[in-house]
Amino acid sequence: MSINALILYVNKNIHRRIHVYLILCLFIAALLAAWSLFVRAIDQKRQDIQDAYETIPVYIILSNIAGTRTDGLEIPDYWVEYFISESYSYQGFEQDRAFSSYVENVQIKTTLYYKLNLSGAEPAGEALPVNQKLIGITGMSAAGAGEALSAKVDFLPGYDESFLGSDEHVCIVSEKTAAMMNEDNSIHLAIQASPVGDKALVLSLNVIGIHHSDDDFIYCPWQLAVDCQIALEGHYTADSLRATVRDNTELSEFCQILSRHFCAVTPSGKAPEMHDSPVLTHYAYAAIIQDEELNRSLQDLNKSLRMLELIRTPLLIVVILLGACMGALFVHSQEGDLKTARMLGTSTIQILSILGIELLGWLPLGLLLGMGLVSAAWKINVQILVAIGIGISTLLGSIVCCLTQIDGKRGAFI
Amino acid sequence: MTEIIVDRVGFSYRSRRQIIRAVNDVSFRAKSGKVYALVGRSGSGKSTLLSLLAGLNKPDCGSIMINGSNLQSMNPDLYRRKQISVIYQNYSLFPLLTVKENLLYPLLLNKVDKSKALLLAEETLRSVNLDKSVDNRLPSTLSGGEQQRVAIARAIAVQSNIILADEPTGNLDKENSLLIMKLLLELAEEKDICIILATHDLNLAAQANHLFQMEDGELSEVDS
Repeated sequence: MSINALILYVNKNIHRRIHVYLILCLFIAALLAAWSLFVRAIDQKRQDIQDAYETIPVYIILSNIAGTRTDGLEIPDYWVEYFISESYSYQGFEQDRAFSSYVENVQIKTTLYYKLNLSGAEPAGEALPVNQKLIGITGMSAAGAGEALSAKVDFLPGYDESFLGSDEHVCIVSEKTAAMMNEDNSIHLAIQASPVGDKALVLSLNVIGIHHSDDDFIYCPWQLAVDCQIALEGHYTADSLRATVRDNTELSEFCQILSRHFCAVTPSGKAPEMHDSPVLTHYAYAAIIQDEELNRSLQDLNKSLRMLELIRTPLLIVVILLGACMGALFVHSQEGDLKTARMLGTSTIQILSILGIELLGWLPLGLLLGMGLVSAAWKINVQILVAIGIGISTLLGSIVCCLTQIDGKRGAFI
Repeated sequence: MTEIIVDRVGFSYRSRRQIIRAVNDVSFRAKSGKVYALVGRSGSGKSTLLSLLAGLNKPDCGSIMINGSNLQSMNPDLYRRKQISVIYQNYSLFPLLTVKENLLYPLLLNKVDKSKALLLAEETLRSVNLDKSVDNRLPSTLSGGEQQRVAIARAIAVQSNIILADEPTGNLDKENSLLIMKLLLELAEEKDICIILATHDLNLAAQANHLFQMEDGELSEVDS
């Protein structure tokens, strides 16, 4: 059988050129690994973009139309309700999705005025010092909560910030006010909606914490402040409101809904043109969207991603061509031997069979090594199709080199 | 009995945007049992003529008849496997096969039984005065003369009717050149083989049975 001649050749070749096969094997593995790392870089960029949407907070802060003031806004209750109500109507129609579903961690502040009711007498509206404020907040970071709460708050045992999210009769007081609390850690307050209100009501609050600042502000749960204001005035208002966008990928959609009720002010505070603008008649407040950090990150990430996507196809072509070159080099490295074999009467098919047997030895090994590397070492998904592509291009490169170099030379004896 | 008839053969090839007429209207006859020498300077067309005779290239015109059959109509692989052997200046042995394996390869290619091929290889190597100790050595460990004898042994082993030798002594010293030439002459006579060798060594060529001069692709016979 003439195949014995081919087996003799291949067997000796493999044994005595093992270093050549190893080099080719490692190169193919490296080629596949390099491509897989590149693809991973693209996937990582996409993941980074996704992470940016998920982790970088975007805040919505209500302000006056000019964007110069975010506190003391006296936002009517029906505006506030957009951010906290589970239903949402627009132009008389119930909407499928609540306005509040676009936001989370809504921080609202409402201010009332108090006087310590130490005597327990029936309160009546009177002029109160403007610094004696009872500030209802949804949390410590409610906008305009004041510098007081940036200072340390010592909570009494068993209490923490979460109580501000309830409607319980609790409060955080200054050191000076704490000195006047009852033995059961309670204080009695007379509450008014404004410093010069004509109605007042009595409130008994348990002190849950003490803040260390110079003012005499008392902080209580926002819902409690709202209940008091409704009791006094029949409605409530908010001094400030800020919220965090729940899903940044819906930001564009949410901005369109926001624009129904608020005019947009850029984070830098630039207000829209005012003269002859429907803004003055249509909008009462603006919504500052603090998305600069997100935009900056996305811009950088998208730029990188675009670059990678741009070179993806040319790089793939280069990888495939390099595979073909390896195949051609493999043949070229034994060109003399193959020409001798041709001169001894080995047919083209037999020559290709020799090459096929040899390639089947190291090529799959190289591809498997590459796949193993990327999978085990770097935990990357194996690019099976590209591996197959590299394998095919290597085969084709070797076939083309064989047919053009071994058989194709003319004018020379060898 | 082998007879080669070359009748008005011509061959051109393209080299760097110009057409080279390497063989031009060449005619000659060669028979078994004789050594024919082609002499000429480098580029005269000797090697190209040998490549035509080996079936590596096809002539643009004319015909080459081998024992009455047109070479162009033959299966080139079978022709090179069974009828013809080629000996090169650089020996063209497989460097990674041992001396014996270099002879085994063409025998196995010709579907000779492996045990028989082994015996034949050993006998042939002895017939060209190569010691048994070289059988399992790689060609690179042999001298030039020994390697060329292995190449000749390979030609003998497959029992070719025709041997083409392109500058077979080109890489050998004078002593080895003479030995190789003597071996070829003995081979031609004893085995009734037709040997055509190309050389620029006039002293060697003078020992051949027939001498041809090749110049600018044209062949002319020279009185020996």
